[in-house]
Parts: sequence; structure tokens; C-alpha cells
Amino acid sequence: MSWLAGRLEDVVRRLEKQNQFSWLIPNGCCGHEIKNARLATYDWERLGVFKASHPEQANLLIVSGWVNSAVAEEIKVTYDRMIKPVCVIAIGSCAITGSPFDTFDPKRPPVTVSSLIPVDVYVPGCPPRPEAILRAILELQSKLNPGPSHREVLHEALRD
Amino acid sequence: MSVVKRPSQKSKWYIPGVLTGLGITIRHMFFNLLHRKDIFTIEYPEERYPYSDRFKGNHILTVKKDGSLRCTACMLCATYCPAECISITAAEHDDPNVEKYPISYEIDILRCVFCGLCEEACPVDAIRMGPEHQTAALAGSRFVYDINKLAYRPNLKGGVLSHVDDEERKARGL
Repeated sequence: MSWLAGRLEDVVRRLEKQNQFSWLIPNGCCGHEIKNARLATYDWERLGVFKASHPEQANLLIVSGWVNSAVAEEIKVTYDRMIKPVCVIAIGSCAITGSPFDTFDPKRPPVTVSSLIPVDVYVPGCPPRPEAILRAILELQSKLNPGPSHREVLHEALRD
Repeated sequence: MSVVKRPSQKSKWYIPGVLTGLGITIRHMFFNLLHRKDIFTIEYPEERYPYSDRFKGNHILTVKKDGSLRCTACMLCATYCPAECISITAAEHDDPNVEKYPISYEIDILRCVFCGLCEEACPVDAIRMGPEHQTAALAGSRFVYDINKLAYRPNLKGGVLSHVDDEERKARGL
């Protein structure tokens, strides 16, 4: 029985790595690009990213937009409530370095996502194209599952 | 006691509504099965959207005919940059005809807002916004692009030739 439970846990762990349940904090103009990547034109469900209806069901946090004090609180609370380990994707210059709204005042440095929570993938751009967001998801999946992905294996097989 | 019959009570006959909704879904499914070419989803890693030549993507530093950098290290792009992401270190060139050249040209790609003002400011067509879209990378990889990455990355095949030629400029008295 314990063997079966171990097998089941392995399967669950593998599925957790292959499929991400995403929770979005899509602020700013990068939010529109995230929605573009999510909806029919670029459809990221093909890559195994699904929509979670609550942060407690999600293990992929996608943050974009300028981090003010309210958004910083939201990011921290959301991160604490998510399934660990959490993968975080920071999208756009605002979220990563705060550069478009930077005052260049050393006394008041901009608040960034990486100063609040650990970030796995950075997507530069202002805003980045949907392809860049999908590339970030592919990079994340290649980090979680090293080696050729199912998609590459399938295409290798179809090419021959 | 009078019972008021509200119109919402009719809506408990939800089955026709559900079947109508499912019918739309199933109709779309069969339509998409039969008309594969009408699906407008772009299957990203395999097929790419063709962007126009004006697309402002990752930067390219152009080169002269002998393969060295076109940039004259005049610092106009670094001054004009609204995000202050360009940092240039200039040095004197051995050739007396060339005033100075950059020994390091670095763009912090995380700070860059891809506005294209560096391209507009450049007087000698040394920097261009390339056709590639922005590149996502894992945390810990190098996001400050140096000369090697900006001018001589593999997909540029040895560098992009600049429109501005030194001899032409000299003939015009520039």
C-alpha cells in the first residue's frame, strides 16, 4: 500500500512539474500582453499552463506592472498563500527594475518584484511580445524538467 | 396568502439553455476539425508571427566593412536614453582618422524600455532595433548585453553592415 502511495506521489509530482496552475497579477500594459498570450491567439494552455480560480490552487505566479505599496502587499499575500514550491515570472521593465517610473533618486529606489519574492524567470521588454512570455514558460518548464520535453520528442518523431 | 409567480421561476428549465450552449461548443469543435486552416491560434515554438521590419526588438550594433564596430562612442544614445540603460566606455583609437571607439558597450536589457530613441539619436547608424522579439531568460543568466552579444551574436552571421561609410563622410566633409 505504501508502494502505491509512493507511486501516486511520484505521478502527482511529475504532473505538478509538467502543468502549471497560474495566478496572474496583470497590472499595467504588460497585462494586455499576458491576456493576449493566454487567449486564443497564442493560447498558453497548449503548453500546459492552466487557470487557477484561487491563489491557494496555483503554483505559478505571473506578475507585471509597476509595484506600488498596494501591489507589493498583494504580491506578498498571494505568494504566501500559494502551493509551494512557487514559480514566479516577472514581466516587463516596471516589475523587474521599475525603470520607466524610476526617479533616479538614490534615496527612493523603486520597489521591484525581486526585492519582495524570489523570481525564476525574467521577461525584459516594455511591454514584451506574447512570444517572449511563452518563451519564459518554456524556459521555466525546461528548468523544472531537464532533458527533452514531450513536445520536442513528438516533433522529432514526426519529422522522421 | 397570494403567491407571486416571478418570471425567474421559469428559468428552472435550464436544460434547453445548457443544450444550446453545448451545441455552440460542439459546432465550433466540428468546424475546427473540418477547417484546420481557419484556426488562428499561432502554435508558437513551431510557427512564428511575421513581424514588420519596423519592429523594435533586441538591439543590434552595426559594423564597418572591416568588421570592427561602427560606433564612435559619442554618447548621444546614452544621454538620450530615458531608462539610462546604456553604459559606454570610450577609448582612443590607434588609427588617427578614427577619433575614438567603445571598448565596452553595455545595455542593461532589464532596464531598457525598447523605445527606439537610441536608434533615432545615433548620427552614424551604429545602433538599430532588431527584428527579434525580447528574450526571456532564467534568473541568474546574463542580462547586461555586451558588444559580443549585441554585434556578433550567431544569428547575425558576423555582424550587420552599417549604411554610413567613412570615405563617403570624408568626401562630404563631415
